[in-house]
Amino acid sequence: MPKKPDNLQGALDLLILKTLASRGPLHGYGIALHVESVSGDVLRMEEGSLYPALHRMELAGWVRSNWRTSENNRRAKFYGITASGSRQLADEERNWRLVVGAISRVLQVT
Amino acid sequence: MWIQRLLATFRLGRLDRDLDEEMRFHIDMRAQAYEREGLSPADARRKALRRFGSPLLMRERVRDARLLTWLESVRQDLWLGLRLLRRSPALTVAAILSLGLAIGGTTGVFAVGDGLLIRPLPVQRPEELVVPQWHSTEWPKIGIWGSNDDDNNSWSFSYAMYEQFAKTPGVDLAGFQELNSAITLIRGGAGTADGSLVTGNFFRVLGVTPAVGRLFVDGDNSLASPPTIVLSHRFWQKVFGSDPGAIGAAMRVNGQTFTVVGVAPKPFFGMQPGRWSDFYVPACWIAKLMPEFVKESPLTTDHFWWLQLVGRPKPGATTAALKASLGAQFAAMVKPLITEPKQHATFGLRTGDRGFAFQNADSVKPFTILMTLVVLVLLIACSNVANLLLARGAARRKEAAMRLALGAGRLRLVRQHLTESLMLALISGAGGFLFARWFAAAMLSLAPERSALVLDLGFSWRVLAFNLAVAVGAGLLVGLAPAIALSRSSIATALRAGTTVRPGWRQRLGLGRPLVAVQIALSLLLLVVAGLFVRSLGNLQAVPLGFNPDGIVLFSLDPTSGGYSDAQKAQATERVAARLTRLPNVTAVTWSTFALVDNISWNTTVRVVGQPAAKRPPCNLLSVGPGFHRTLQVPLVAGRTFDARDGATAPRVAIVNQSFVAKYLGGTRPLGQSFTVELERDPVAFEIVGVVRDTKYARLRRPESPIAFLSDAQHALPMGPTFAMKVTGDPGRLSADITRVVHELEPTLPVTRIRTYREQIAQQLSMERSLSTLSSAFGVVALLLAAVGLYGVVAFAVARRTGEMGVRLALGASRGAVLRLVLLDSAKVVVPGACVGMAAALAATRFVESILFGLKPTDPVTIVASVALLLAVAGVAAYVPARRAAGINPVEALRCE
Repeated sequence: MPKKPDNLQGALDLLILKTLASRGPLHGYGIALHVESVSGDVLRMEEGSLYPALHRMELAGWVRSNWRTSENNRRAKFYGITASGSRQLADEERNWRLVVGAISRVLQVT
Repeated sequence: MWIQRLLATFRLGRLDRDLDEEMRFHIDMRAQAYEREGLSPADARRKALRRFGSPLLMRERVRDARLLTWLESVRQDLWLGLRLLRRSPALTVAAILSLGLAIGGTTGVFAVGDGLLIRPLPVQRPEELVVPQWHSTEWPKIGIWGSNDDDNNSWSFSYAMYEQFAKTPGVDLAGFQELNSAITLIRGGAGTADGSLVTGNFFRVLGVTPAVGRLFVDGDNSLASPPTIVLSHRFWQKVFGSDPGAIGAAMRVNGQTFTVVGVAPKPFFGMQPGRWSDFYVPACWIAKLMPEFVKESPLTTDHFWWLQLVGRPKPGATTAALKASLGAQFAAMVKPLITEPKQHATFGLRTGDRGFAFQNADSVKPFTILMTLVVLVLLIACSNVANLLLARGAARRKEAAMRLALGAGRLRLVRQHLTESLMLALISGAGGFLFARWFAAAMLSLAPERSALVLDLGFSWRVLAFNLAVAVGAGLLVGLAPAIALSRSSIATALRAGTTVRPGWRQRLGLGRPLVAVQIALSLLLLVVAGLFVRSLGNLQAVPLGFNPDGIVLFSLDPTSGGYSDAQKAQATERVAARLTRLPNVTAVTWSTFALVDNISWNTTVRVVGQPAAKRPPCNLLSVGPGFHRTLQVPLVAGRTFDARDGATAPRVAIVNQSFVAKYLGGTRPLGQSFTVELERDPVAFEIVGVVRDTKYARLRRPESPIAFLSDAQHALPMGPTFAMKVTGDPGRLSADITRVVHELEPTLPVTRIRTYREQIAQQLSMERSLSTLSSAFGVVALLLAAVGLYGVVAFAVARRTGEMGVRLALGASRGAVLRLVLLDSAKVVVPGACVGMAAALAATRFVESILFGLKPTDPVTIVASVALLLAVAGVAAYVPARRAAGINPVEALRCE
């Protein structure tokens, strides 16, 4: 799979995948809302980046999408995580913890 | 998968609409949330939009993501493929070489076939062109110059008919006829060239524009206009060195002087693919160019049909209406020519997009055969490369299993394999495309000079497309086996097998052995076909001629076309013969109107005097000079041969062969009998003064038939003579002498076709020689590929069973027993393959039966020899690894285990 030099993008992917894994299929707005509320508004998603990320992940086979009726009876595109997305999530989560752990150790040393 | 992505990439319109809707939904939801927080609807909306950022930018980024992901995955596959190919260079080179040769061979055969049979004429809108033809089983009493096929179709019409047809409102109609071996005088140098007689509107109807100068206009086709000539681009380059000064130059053709007015465009060759017209002259000059027709002007007589037509319907005219209108005119004009109730002629139109390519129908069968053979070679090469890839796939099985276990899609792996084999095939195809040009040129050059085909083998989109299609097909075929192996593999067994010495051998041998058996079968089929062609050629070469061609040099003159009268021609012939006799090393000189076994025939019916008038059996004729039979060593059975007594004014005499005596004289004493020949209007009687042994006449393939030899001085066709000189020593050195002697005596007569008799006979076998040369080459390549395949499989099996062999040897098995074991094992591949190949050969070779000479497709010698050769080569291929197995050191083998 392509290496992503952009760390933030990696974080975005991770947040999206994690959201979908825990909450089941959601539309883009729902994902954004969830991330904001769970992070206590610390992580405010740049909404313009959300959709390119979703489409990219769909092409990579990590999420799949379909058009459904939303809670307020409007047509909306819902995204759900796939098996390969779950594996990707596991990978990235592990990576993330590794990096975070490493960084905090570095911070503790100084 | 690729296709979906590709479609997604190009379905951007729909994608945009979807995205817009997605985005609108998001912004609406956000705005509603703000409204709930107490903002006014307008403020809520503004804030939501600001929060979302630029929709345009987002849209761009989604697009980029889609496109880039797609490109990225293609790039990845290609990169991985390249890396794998580079990792095993020997395998890659072997695969590319064998696939490239096979793809190139296939493309090369196609390129020649395309040029001869498929490619449209290089003219404007060739698809509109139509060619009038007619059909008859009992032809009206007319003379025909031009072609007709085995189905009794002809494309020749009388000039009067053409002029009548041309008045039809719905069509533009032009006429064309080839003028072979015309004698040309350009700037003082005599030579021969192949030209064409064309009507003045020919180039206009076809929509051809000049490269230099001008082409004909309607007015050129009139005896009242100055004689004009148009050169082909090729001839202009060859003879005039592309000199623009050629325009306005004088050029003599068969004694008539023409002024060069222009040069046809480079790709334009005339009307029949494979034949190249060097120049074009207006059809009205036919009588001046072909003096033998002067007695009845070919422009006015309705009994002589010689002009082939090509037409372009005018806008609005349908082919059906055109056929009806021309057909009615044809029927009216042919009616007076029908003298017997059975005679008839029906009119038809055929599409003319490829000119007179249909006249190349004789080439269809050899091309089908060659194409089939080369495709078989390609299949063998494909299965060989598939085998190589399988072998490597086995080594990579663990990696594949790992990737599968880690969740890579099976399809994705198959795709990777296919990408790799497609890459391999496309690289081979590119190389093959270059090879194809060379190969096609080599194929053409196999035909000797006179029957040579002239084809422009330059770049053609059709050939490139064919090459690409074959390469892709080969790539898929090659990728199939590893893909099947992959789809069969289970992760667990592969991973487990990964711990033993040779991973995944089961998969490899599961497909590898049948693949080798297929190769064996196909190469046996190829060997049998090649063997049949080789033997057939051998039979033709060994067929008794009835005369001795050794040490004989032939060359031809054409004084008639050079403007000589009959008397002048006879004098010139005798002068040349007398002078040639004085050359050193020349022991005898004679001549005939044309040479025996040169595809030229002169047939008529004869009536033996004293037999019923209704009995008019067919007979071959040949006019010969004195000493003809002696020089060619045709044994005299009775009577005498011609000599100085048999001059123009002497009583007319003939020599007949034994077939003539047996078939037409019914065992009566031949000498002194007479027969009549309808040579012109009135029958002419000839007295038989000699009988000679049978010889072949025009073609080697035909059985001996009745021949009557006439004295050249008493009766000859308006052509020739062809001289035959018996020489001692090297005949090749004589050609300069011949040219010099003739040039001294007859400066305006070009010497044509200096050849030994053996060379001329070989020319007649050019198709057979091409087929046997090419099929043998294909057979050898196939056999080598199959041998390599077999070697690979056996060597692999031996390597895999090293431990087992070690155990056997350690337990006291003899080395001979191990050798036998391995050989027997390979026999299990070879024997079934050979059996299938034999069955295929017996079924398939019936299709080549009509081309064979002197043997059946089930010829036991060929079959036994092919099988023996196959087994011998297979034996060697298996013996090498078998010996290695027998040479295993048991201790080391067991230690490895």
